[in-house]
Amino acid sequence: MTDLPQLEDLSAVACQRRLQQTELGRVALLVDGHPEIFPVNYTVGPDNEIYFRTDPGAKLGALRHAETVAFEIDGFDEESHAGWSVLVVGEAYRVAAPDLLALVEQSGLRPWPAGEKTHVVRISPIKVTGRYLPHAPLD
Amino acid sequence: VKTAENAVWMEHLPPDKSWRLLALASVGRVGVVVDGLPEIYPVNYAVDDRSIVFRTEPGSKLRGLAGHAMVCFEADGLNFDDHTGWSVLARGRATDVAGAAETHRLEALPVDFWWVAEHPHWIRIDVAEITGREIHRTVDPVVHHGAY
Repeated sequence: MTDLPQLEDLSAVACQRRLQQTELGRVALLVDGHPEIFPVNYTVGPDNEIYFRTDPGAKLGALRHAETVAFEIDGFDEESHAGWSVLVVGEAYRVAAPDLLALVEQSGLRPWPAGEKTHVVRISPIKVTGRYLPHAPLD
Repeated sequence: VKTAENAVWMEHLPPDKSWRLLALASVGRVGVVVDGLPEIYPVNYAVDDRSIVFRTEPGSKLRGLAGHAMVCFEADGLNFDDHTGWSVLARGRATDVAGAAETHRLEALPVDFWWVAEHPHWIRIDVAEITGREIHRTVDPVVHHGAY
């Protein structure tokens, strides 16, 4: 019988490395008590905080108070079926400081989807966890 | 004729188009609420009629998904070269797939990644609402001549 691969935890360092190497993530937040997920381009700051840009009219662009959100990145290989994901739970809030906006722009952060992404949201991580599934065994 | 150079615009997609795009991808993310807070888990999924099905392994947090009132599901296909692409968000209730016949039928679907459990448990999201967005770009043919 072939041993099936088991999910393994990623170390905190490995999670941070993957967060720094990835450009696209997904944010989940509660809207009327129900979860919604949006893809965002993001960048990581010096304190491992996550920044992304959003529309003033979007739910996150209208944040008035810090809100707990989930942020996730993942990757998989179609050939080997290996996969990994990192989940960040953190406090999201809008940052308005012009110098910060300049910093985010300097980082080359290009918003996806395109549009008037004039607002910057910061996620301060509370908890970061990661999982890794090694490639499937070759028969 | 619109002649805007490198114009970028977003289109809101009707359900039919959103379902067609969902069928193109194989990895999506399930959003659930755990202790009042959102969490996200990637899954390898398939579209089955107007529902989304995926497998979970023993010990997965998604095992208890059917107990959640409402979940969401997101998948996307994004092009980093020109920042075009699509994303679809579906909402609905998760249920456990019961019955050997139904499970056997689902095993024929192209859900191959992250094959962890020998006897996986299937979960179905009965979609109540689906929305999609697609980003288009009109590329100036002079500026980008030869790029394709």
